[in-house]
Amino acid sequence: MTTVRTVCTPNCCNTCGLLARVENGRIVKVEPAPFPDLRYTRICLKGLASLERQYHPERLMHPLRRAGARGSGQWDQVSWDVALEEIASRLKDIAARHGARSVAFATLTGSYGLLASNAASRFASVFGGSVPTRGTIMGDSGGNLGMLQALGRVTAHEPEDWANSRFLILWGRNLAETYMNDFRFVLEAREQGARVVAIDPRFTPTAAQCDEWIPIRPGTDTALALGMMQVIIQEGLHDRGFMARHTVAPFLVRTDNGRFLRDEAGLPLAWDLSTAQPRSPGEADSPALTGRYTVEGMACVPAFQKLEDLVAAYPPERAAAITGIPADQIVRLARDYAGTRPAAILLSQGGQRYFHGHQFFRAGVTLAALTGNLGVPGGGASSIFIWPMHSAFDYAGFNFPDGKRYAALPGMMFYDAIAEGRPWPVRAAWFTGYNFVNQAADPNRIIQELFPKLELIVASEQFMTATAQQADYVLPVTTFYESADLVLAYDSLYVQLQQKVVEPLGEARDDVEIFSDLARRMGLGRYFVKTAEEYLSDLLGSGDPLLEGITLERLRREGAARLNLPRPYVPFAGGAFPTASGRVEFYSERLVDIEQELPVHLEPLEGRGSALAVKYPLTFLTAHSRFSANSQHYALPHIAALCPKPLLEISPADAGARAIDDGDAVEVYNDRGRCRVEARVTPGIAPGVLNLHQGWWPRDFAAGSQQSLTQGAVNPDQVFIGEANWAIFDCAVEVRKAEP
Amino acid sequence: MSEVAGVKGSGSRATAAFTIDLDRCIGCHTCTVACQMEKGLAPGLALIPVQTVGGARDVPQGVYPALCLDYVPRPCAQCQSPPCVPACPSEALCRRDDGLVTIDTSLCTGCGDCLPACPYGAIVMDGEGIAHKCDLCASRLDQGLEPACVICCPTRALTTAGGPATDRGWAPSPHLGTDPALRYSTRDAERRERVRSYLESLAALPVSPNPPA
Repeated sequence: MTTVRTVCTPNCCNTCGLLARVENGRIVKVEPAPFPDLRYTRICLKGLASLERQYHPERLMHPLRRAGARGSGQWDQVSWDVALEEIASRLKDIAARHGARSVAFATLTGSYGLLASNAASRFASVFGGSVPTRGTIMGDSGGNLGMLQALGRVTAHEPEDWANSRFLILWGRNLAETYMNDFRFVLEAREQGARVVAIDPRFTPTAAQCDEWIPIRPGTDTALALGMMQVIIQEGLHDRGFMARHTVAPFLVRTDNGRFLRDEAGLPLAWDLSTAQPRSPGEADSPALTGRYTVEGMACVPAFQKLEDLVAAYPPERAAAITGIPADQIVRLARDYAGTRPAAILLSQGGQRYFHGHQFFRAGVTLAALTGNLGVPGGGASSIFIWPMHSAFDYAGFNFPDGKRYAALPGMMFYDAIAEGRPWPVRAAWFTGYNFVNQAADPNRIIQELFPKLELIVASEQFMTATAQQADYVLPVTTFYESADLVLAYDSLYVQLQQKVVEPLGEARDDVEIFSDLARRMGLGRYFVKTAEEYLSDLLGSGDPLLEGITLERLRREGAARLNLPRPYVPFAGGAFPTASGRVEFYSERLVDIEQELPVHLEPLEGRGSALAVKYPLTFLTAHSRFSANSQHYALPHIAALCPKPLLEISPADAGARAIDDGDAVEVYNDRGRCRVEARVTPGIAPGVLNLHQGWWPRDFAAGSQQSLTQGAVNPDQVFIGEANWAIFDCAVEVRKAEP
Repeated sequence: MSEVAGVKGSGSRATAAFTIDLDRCIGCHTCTVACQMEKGLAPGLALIPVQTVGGARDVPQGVYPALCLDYVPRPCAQCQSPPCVPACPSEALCRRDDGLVTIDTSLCTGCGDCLPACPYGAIVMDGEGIAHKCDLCASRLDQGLEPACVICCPTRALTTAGGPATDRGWAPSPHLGTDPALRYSTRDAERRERVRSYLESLAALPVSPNPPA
């Protein structure tokens, strides 16, 4: 028996190290692999069950070419030579007629391996194709847009630092299911006396282990933050010193155009109370945060005053009316948060999956700044992404060989690019690590309207997914047990080596092999001459001091290596912010044009008060469960025995009003589609809200699927800021008992 | 708390047993699956099922928004006076000198007498009529390794450091008179009462061949 250390790579962010035990060429067992810090030695039910995925009878073993109509399920098994030769010829033809840019190489997070998730992009670069951006089409980048605006960087405290907090707000963050191996750090904080609060429309397994659960109306998180800020400022609980030194609070804002008042050199000015003169904010002895001033005839107010004016419109009673949270609970939360140091806010993906989700993260960051909780251990307003992890590697060298670059297609424009040719026409799509039809918005539109416009669809897959079913060619790709790669976590600072444990099953090939072979057939072979290990060495060889000493050789020896950073990693330590001003920009000059210079609350697109809400009064969430990383694990026998079928969570009030009983077959519907599923009546979900876990396959439903209901509207405000994010949870539906 | 690297520390024990920290259990079922993989058990055959107090998985108790949600992993209680052992006519079940109650499945005839004998419903029968129960991974313990579920538990809710040798925690349904070595712990007095009464309500029920997962 041999033992090989590898990494569990499906998109769950914890990327556990696995020790795989092999007998006669077959993996017989997996265990958690040791880390230098044993607190990161970990696994979960999905990693344990991954052997069932590896050896699943439905694993794809051979290249397939469509033999009937798309989706007919009729296939011819073909050789790699035939498949790649034909694909190469069709790609050349499509490129000749529509331009290479019309071929989109869409990769998502089926594997966190750097090669698995970037091989198609490298090919796209040398071929001249498009790559839809990932963060937005998966609905993960709305909050980041806002955080980037305010902090200059999207990042997080290292999870082990959570244990240093005295007060934690898990703001929609269902860690116990989605980051279950990091939740221990929250539990440790609580055992050391920290108070932990969960804000979530659902009473999650996370909320079950918190001191307080605060159910909130979906998409109103910004209003709650504004209400808390109103209390904090009115009661004088804010950290004036931090605001004055480390944020744009003292910057004078011109009342005529909302821009900062600047001196001749273009530098912003504050009002110095000690001299009653305008002065550089860094030099003023006593910079004013409030008040109204006139400088050379120009009326101005400090940015903090603008914030105070905004939050004055959100007293607890108004925040309560918007969020559904009792006013006294908002007051207490604000006092607890502002009165306990250090306090951490863990921002969620859920809360930013609404049409205006970028504002939520800005509001969270502003709260943390207001209370002086940025840059201190145990504090912060953290995203799920820990920044240094991804900045250190030489992605550009891998993705852009010889300076050749793919065309980055904003993810949410993928639909319009196919349907309407905007911003440019897409005529072929290649999906790698991406079960697009299962996981993206509005699959009815995808299959009925978009795919018929594509001349070629290729899917690199391990299983016959809903996406692969629609493809013209399906290429069998290796699992993380069958190829070498480098794997980063989204939460921790460890780099791990995914080592090949066993030979690929059937004719499966890894992504680098597939695109290297294709490149050779298309006259692009000179860009794909290295081995996987050589590419991995290149990725590590960025020269970034964070990676100094972290080599493949060391990773082979040690399995996991932490980036060269002091621990715990605390972003913005010392109050240094990578924004233009070097300060927290809770007030953004740039966003004056869209009237979002401050984190204002905006109602969800399909929320209460919208025209749709009359017909479809319920908000439909598709949260992640512990049983599957996206669409990868529900079908595994040991998982399926625990969680055999999708269930629609509905409150007793909403169920009662519709004569729905627990266990009834119900139909969830809106104008986009319908989904037939079993009802689970539970008090653990706020009235007015439904939840159906994402990741189930269409075959798990009598009709439709969870995505049949979701929409892909593009928010022009987000386009202005950067690019639009998929507002997955901004989804209005109605539900009724299904006809028998 | 001590860290688990798959190798047990040096502390000796009078009687091996779990202590389960209910304030750390998140109902993830990783212990269930770790056990199934270690023991080669079919899907659904759980030696350490994780139950939600009240019955339906993940459904909290109470009235919105005053809710609570408690998870209870339910392995063999490792009774010091195990009624399953005398119930087995083929001596497949035994209590070792170190107190572990184990089963030699090669001696199991599938008579099923042990199932109703166990007041905790901790013994299950597989599709081929062989009884299985948690033995704390006795073969791993004998090699100085922690049980599979313990090394896999994401929140370290499961430990083998407790049991009757320590004062930590409380035994489930002690009135059953089998002197279980298993211990549960929680800092929350209300949770303790909820879990205790839930477990006692289960003990009052006829034993099903396979407790609900």
